[in-house]
Parts: sequence; C-alpha cells; structure tokens
Amino acid sequence: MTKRILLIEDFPVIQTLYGDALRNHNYDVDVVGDGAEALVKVAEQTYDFVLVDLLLPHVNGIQFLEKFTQRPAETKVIILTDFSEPKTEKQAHELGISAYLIKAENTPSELIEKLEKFK
Amino acid sequence: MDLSRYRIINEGQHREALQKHNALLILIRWGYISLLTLVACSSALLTNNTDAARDYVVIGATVLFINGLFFLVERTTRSRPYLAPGIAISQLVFDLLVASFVTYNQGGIQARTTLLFALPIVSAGILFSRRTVYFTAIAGGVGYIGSVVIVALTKTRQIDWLMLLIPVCFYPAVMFILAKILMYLVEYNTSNTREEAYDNFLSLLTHQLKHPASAAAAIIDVLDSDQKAGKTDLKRYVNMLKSENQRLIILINNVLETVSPKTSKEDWLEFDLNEEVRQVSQLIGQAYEREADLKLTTPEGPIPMHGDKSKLRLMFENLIDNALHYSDEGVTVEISLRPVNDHVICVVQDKGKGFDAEKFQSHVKRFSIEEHPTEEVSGVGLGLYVSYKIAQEHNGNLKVMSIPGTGTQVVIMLNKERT
Repeated sequence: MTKRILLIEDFPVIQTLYGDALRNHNYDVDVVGDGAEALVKVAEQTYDFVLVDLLLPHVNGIQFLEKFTQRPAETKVIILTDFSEPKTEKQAHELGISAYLIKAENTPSELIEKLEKFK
Repeated sequence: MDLSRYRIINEGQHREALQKHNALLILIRWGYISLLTLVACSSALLTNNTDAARDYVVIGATVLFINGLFFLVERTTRSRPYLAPGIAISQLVFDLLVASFVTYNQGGIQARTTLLFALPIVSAGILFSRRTVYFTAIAGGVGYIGSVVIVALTKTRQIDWLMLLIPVCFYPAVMFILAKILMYLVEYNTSNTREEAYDNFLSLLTHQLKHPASAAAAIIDVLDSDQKAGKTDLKRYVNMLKSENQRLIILINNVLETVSPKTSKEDWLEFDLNEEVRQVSQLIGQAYEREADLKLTTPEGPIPMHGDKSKLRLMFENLIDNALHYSDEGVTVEISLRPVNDHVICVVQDKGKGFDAEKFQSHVKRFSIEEHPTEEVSGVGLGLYVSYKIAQEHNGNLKVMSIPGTGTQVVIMLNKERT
C-alpha cells in the first residue's frame, strides 16, 4: 500500500528535492510551507510520516508538535531540520517525535533508507 | 571575539536583561528591607523605645508588602518584556518615595535612615547606567547633607553634632562602595544574558549557513540518483546549484561584514552606483536563471556615489537575492534608483511571500535573538540586518513594508556625498 507523507518545509528548493525524491520512491507526498497549513492537513487526513522543519513562518515546528497531540498511532513524526540545538532537540523528543534528522546529514536517498526501516 | 562590539546582541537583549535586573532588585529589596527593619527594631527595643520599634515594623512590613506586589507583577509579565522599563521606573520611584518619607519622618539625621537611599541608587543603576549609579549616589549624599542643614537651620529637631559626623563623613563612601558592588552584580547578570544571546546568535547563524549546504548536498544526491537512472535532463538541478551557491557566497559575506570592523570614511571611494546595481542585478539574475524577471529602472547616466563600494554591493546582493528567493519564477522583481539632491532613493520590490514587517523592526534591532529562536521570519535573517547597517553607515536608512502573501518593498535612502 502506498504510504502517505506530509512534508512541512518552507524552503522551495528543499520542497522540490525531497518531495520529488520521495514521489520517485512511490510515496504519496503532500507539501505545505508552514505549520498552520500543516495543522489543517493533518486534521483532514492520516499520514504515515510527517516530516517537519523547525524554522517555519506563522506556526513553527515546535508549536506544530504542541498542537498536533491527537495523532493516529500509525503516524510517525520526524523532525527534518538544519537547526541543531540540544535544548530544542530535547524539547522535540519530549513532544513525541520518532527521529530528529539534520538535513545536511540526510540527503533525500538517505532519508528514504531511514523511512524504509520504520515498521 | 569581543562581545561588546556586537551591539546587535546588547540592543537585542536590553529588555530581557532589564527583566532579569527587575527580578534582582526585588530580591535585593526583600533582604535589605528585612535586615534594616530587624536592625532598627532591635536597636529601638534595646533602648526601650517600643513606639519607635512599632513604627519601624509598620514601615518595614508596608515596604515588604509592596515589594510582594512588585514580585507578582514581575512574575506575571515575564512574557511581555516591553513592560520591563515601566516596572523598573516604578521601583525607582517607589524607593525614592520610601527613602524620602522615612528620612523626613526621622528628621534626616539618623544614619540608619540614610541607608534607605541605597535602594534608589540600586534602582537607578539597574535602570540606566554606571554613570547614573554614581550620580545618584552623589545626589543622595548631597540630599542627605542638605536635609541635615535644613533641619539644623529650622531647628526642627535636636541634632547631636558628634553623632552626625559619622554618617556625613562615611555616607558618600558607603554609597560609592555599594554602587560598585551593584554594578558588579548587574554586569554579571548582563554577561550571562549576553552569553546566552551570543549562543543563540551562533546557533541561528549556523542554521543559516547550513541551509545552502544542505540544499547542495540534496541536489548532488538527486543528480547522482537521476544519472544512475539514465535521466539526462539535469539543467533544473544545475540551476538550483548555481542559485544556492550564490546565496552561500552572500551569506559568508554577510557573516564577514558582521565581524569585521567599520571601514574608515577616509578610505571610501567615488564610484558609479548605477553601474554597480546593474552588475549585481545581472549576477544574481543569472544565478537564478531569472534575468527576465528583473525590471531595472535607473537613470541613463552614472550616479556618482561616495562610499564603501563592496559593502553597498553586498547590500544590493542581499536585497535582490532575497526578492528572487522568496518570489516564484515568472514573478517580476522591480529595482529602481532615483537621485534626489544629495541622496539616492533605491527601491527593491517583489510580489513574493512577504513577512510580518513589525517583526522586521525588532529583528533588525535585535537580530531576532530570542530564548528559543525557532521561528524563522522569511527574508528576515542576517542579510536584511546587514543591509540596514550598511545603509546607516552611509548616513542613510532602510525601511521595509511587507504583507505576508502579497510581497515586500524595501526602500533605501543613501547619502551620495562625502560627509
């Protein structure tokens, strides 16, 4: 069954690169540019993965996690960011994420390998 | 790095530091007033003066009660740093009123009452500066001596001149020492705040530097995959690499601009601003493969400009790069230059994502140094702050009007002439 991914990322180049790579690996991908739009999307449908950038306009990644508390059991929330700050990473883990990934260390194909390992 | 050079950090944390100082002052008042009340009350009881002891308890309890109100207000307004100056001023006024009332009540001739002047000095030092602390200490000393003179001349109270010598001689010295201790405490408090701000600044800066590097890593990864899959249309990704590499160069220049000292105006040269803007537009337009989206409106002839050519070039690189980066392909970015007497008015306008321009005002002054900098205001990063700084260094100004979802207009006014 095709897995659904919500990519929350405001940087157009990253939206294109990660979005296209995921689609090429048969993921059904929705892309939004800020946390507020993402909250609307997750209320409308269930995703297998939600990939969240931290630094977003309007509603940032942490605020999104704080509001997205009613998560289906099968939805895995993964932070995908360039912001590596221990305090923020700890806060994100306390909000129930499955992984905290740094973009510079996780190219699209590396990200796909990691997603495949989630059961 | 010398932290004191980074005014962006000092200015940025002013209100947050003031909040910490307000809390420190309330803490000092708890201990100081309690101790003073205890000492005054004890000495009154030792001389069997129960009326005076009762008065001291009433005054001390009243001050501590009001301090409790300050405590509650300070706690409940921690999320509103703009209230910090008001709270600091209220504390200063309160301490001055208490010191004045008690001194008047006691006739101004007793050493213990003069110690109450220490609190307004502390308040003033916290609110303003080192100079204000010493000034207030001197004013307190003069005020005390003045009140003694008035009491003596009006014969309001009986004065023990021998006992008077002790506070008159030692009061200014005690206040001065107290002021020194206070400034040490304030600077310790501020340095913690400054270090925290510096850490946040570095954290945000690292993120901004990683952005184009991550994009480049992703592009190379996709190019590799596509090549293995036999795809030959690589132009799209090559264009992405070009624009991201351009952004990285601009970002590095912004960082260098932030840490490098100001150039002396003696080293400024005269150059053609019109030609520089044209070159920058062409360079950035080519990097994005969007030369057609750039609409340049400039006079026919040269615009002689006296200034730092490389910095002004960086300013325009920032503004044009931001405009192209945050607007879609096919959307026009308008750049205009117009000489007006001794000045040049430059406008860069796009119909892109826009951002909250009110946040720009605070970000430009503070470079968005917050306790948890997890909110990115599109287009408001180091580049816009650096551009603002460069405009100011050229006796000019930079103003931004932006509406999220509609676009952004940046208006720069520069002084052309040698000043």
